[in-house]
Amino acid sequence: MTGLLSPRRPIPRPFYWGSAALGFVVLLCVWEWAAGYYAAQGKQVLFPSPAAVGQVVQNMVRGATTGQEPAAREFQNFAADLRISFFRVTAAFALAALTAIPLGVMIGSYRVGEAFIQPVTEFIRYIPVPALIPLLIVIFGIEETSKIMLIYLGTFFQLMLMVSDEIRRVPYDLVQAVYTMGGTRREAVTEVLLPASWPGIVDALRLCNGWAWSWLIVAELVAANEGMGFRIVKYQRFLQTDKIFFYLVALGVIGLLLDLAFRLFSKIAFRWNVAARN
Amino acid sequence: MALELSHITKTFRSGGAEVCALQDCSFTVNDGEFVSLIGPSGCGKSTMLYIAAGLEEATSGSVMLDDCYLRGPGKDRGMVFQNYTLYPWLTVEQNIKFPFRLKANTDYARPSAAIMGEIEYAGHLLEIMGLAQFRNRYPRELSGGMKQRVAIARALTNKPRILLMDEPFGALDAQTREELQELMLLLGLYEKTTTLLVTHDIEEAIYLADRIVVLSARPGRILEEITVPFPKDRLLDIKLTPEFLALKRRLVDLLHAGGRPSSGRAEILERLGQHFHATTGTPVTTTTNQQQP
Repeated sequence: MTGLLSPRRPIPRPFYWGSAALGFVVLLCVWEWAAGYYAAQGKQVLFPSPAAVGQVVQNMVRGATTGQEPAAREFQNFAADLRISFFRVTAAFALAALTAIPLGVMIGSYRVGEAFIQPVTEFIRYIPVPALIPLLIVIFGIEETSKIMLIYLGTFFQLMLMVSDEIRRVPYDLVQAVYTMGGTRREAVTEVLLPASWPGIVDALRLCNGWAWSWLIVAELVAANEGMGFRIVKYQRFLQTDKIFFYLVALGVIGLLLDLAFRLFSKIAFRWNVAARN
Repeated sequence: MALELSHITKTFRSGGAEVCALQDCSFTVNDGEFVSLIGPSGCGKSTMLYIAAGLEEATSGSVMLDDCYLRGPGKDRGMVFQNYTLYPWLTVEQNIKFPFRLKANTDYARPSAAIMGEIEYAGHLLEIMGLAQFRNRYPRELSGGMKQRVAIARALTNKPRILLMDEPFGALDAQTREELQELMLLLGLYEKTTTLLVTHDIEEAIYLADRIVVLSARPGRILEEITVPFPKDRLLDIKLTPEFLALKRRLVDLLHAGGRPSSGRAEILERLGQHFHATTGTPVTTTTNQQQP
């Protein structure tokens, strides 16, 4: 079967990229229409138009290049928010990866590990992380630690289970083969299960990184005096919805770029993997 | 005597019931000998091979290699699996040299000259199997036949006492299968590899083997051991000689007599007749046209 609507069949490149562009155009149109709707009632301050957000972008660029007040201050705020938010996400994410990967490998490789860790974590996993915020603030204060802990708790359990699934997905044949070559049980993990799972683990990291950014915003909405989430709340108080939109677009772009970076890494590091190449 | 399996019995639980897969099977594989193990599907021939490899445990009975009792797998028994089992993250050459990544082969107590010699041997294998120009390819870039060549070379890298093969050519097309059969035969001629092959392909079993062990349907028992009366060096053409075909006939009869899930021609024809009669109204007779003038 060929044709544009054949399930799972490839389509010509121009159609693919054309459709992708069309998606953005539709989004812009809906946005423009909604903004027009509010503007017609004289409430454009509630829902800014794409043009208004474009104005904010221009302003930021001017602030960055000319140093003209107040544009320069806006830009400095943005840069500082970006820096601190990035730090929080990265610290929590790195911590989650460093703990979840070894534990996930243990759960996936050893049934004892699975029985010991998995039921307990399944239980903890179902406690909604936002429900822990008051407790985190009481225990860790309102400084960085509580925010990093929140992001960590939000990603750690998911990541650990995803890693263990990747290990379990490796065909058992590959393990049997290493035994017939004189490999030990430990080598079955280090020489077979782990290398076979790396592409899947990196993919799990990619997804978890996206979630980490969601938890970051939750953490910063609650208690912070800088960061992307904090600034959004602040602009809300002054009804500067155009600037909120700018921050939302910035978050989208950051997510897209990080996603792209992970995919690129996979493509280069795992040339052997068919899935990573597509 | 290289490999000796004595009184192997294997039972396993399936839905609460005890199923007997192998019952009191004993046979040996001599030094330098090529033995084929055949039997109807589901008779437990693969289980037997996995027991010999140490990947599965027999319920009772023992496995001996060079008069030593064995427990668990080891590098003295190389294995080639039906599903290639190449490591997809390694190139052809890295796959073949994979055993050198393992502690069992980088034992510092051994003289490095011995290890160097083995690495050199792995290099030879790469050439012998016709893989030299593919050395830097990844498994996903190879055809099924090429993958199985790599798997065979990798199993031989350790210079195992015996090579165990589990329907290694089962997934290949007929032409590639014959190519690899010829390669195995000639390799055995030069390397004097001791081999135990499990296959469902009777022609393959005869063409490659010095001796054939025939298993019955479940529970698997040894029906007969047949020595193949051809010289070791055989051409593929031998498959068309009357002696070969006579032996094939004998084995086919043995396998059928040993019990085959009774479906049979008459039953199929009956079902066909009923079904088509009911739906199309076209009468289908169970007799063939041959009897009519």
